[in-house]
Amino acid sequence: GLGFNIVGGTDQQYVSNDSSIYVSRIKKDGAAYLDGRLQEGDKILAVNGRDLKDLQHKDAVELFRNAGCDVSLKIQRRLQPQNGPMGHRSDGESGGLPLAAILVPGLALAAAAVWILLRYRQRM
Amino acid sequence: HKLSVAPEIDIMEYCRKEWRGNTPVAKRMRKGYEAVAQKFASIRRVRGDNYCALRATLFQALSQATQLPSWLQSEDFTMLPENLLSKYDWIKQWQLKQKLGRKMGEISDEIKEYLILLRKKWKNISEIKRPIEKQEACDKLFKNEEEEYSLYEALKFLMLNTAIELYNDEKNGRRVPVFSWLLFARDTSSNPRQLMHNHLNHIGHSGGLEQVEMFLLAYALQYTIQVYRLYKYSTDEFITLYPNDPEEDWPVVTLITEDDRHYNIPVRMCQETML
Repeated sequence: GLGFNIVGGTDQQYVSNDSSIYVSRIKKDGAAYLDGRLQEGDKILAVNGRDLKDLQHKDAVELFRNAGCDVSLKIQRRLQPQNGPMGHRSDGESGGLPLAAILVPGLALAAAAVWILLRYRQRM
Repeated sequence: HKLSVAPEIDIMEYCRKEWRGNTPVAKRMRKGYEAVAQKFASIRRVRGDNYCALRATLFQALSQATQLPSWLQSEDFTMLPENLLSKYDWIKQWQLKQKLGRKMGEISDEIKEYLILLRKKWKNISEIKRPIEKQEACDKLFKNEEEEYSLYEALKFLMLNTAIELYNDEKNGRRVPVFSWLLFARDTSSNPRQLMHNHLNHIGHSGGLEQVEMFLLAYALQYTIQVYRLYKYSTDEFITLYPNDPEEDWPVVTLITEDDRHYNIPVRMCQETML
């Protein structure tokens, strides 16, 4: 796979008014991890030139699954939170924010977008 | 305050305030809450009287209700009290919730009213399309007034009805879920009449729901109740499902408990997908 998890979508109940798609976790030794540029909390603006706007969660997932082997992502970078809550995934993997930190409205994002090209990795 | 279910607060913030220090218990609780925070961003505290399991379950069910459950749609739903009373005289001993300043009517009429109210509220709330408005409607219903408690009485009666069905099924040689014979294996409830006298009549007053009664509630509602049991963190009971081999088409509601006594509700669920 691409080696990261996403959250977000217009159908995510009670999530803040922002229905954007966010990176919630980067899998260790996966494609995104090895590329090194994608971060947890980054907002995904577009996939292969297709804007991710007003999509339900499952439709965003579909887009990714149909994106082919070379996937270009347009990202809005998460800035390091000043007083972000400390948290870690309970399965012992380092890094990783609790979902609350990613979904908190007003999480600082950089103004300029970043482009990242990832290649789909076959699961080992 | 008036709300029986408090406004939401960030789960990790709540956890940090409740569980300071470094005792083994505190550490386990914090890890438990962190695990919940993987899926839910916030927690809402539920009024902690002996109705809290019913309150938390019903609140969650209504918050996400988009249609009436099939058992609420049945024609003879409101005839239930009358029908059961005609078969089982002992149901006359059902403990009704006392209503201040109002004379109590016939038991079957009172209970019928509760069931009608349950159906009416469920129907109204399930017809609200926007999640925010649906949530507001739930908040308005659960404001510690007579209506709210009438709904719990309805649920208790439905639990009795389900218990009677299971008991009779077993007597007639039909297969019943395992919890059913655990329910009736207790000294204090070897049959539905005892279950009523020693357990159901006390719920909301001197006692809450025992574990085996959580199964009964789930069966009565035809819902799967998923519970994060924080004191069981790092065991395979950390997340327990009532019933534990759920039917595919039963909706799922999620609760949190630190001790199997008091229940709170997690909210702001986030669907997370691996790519």
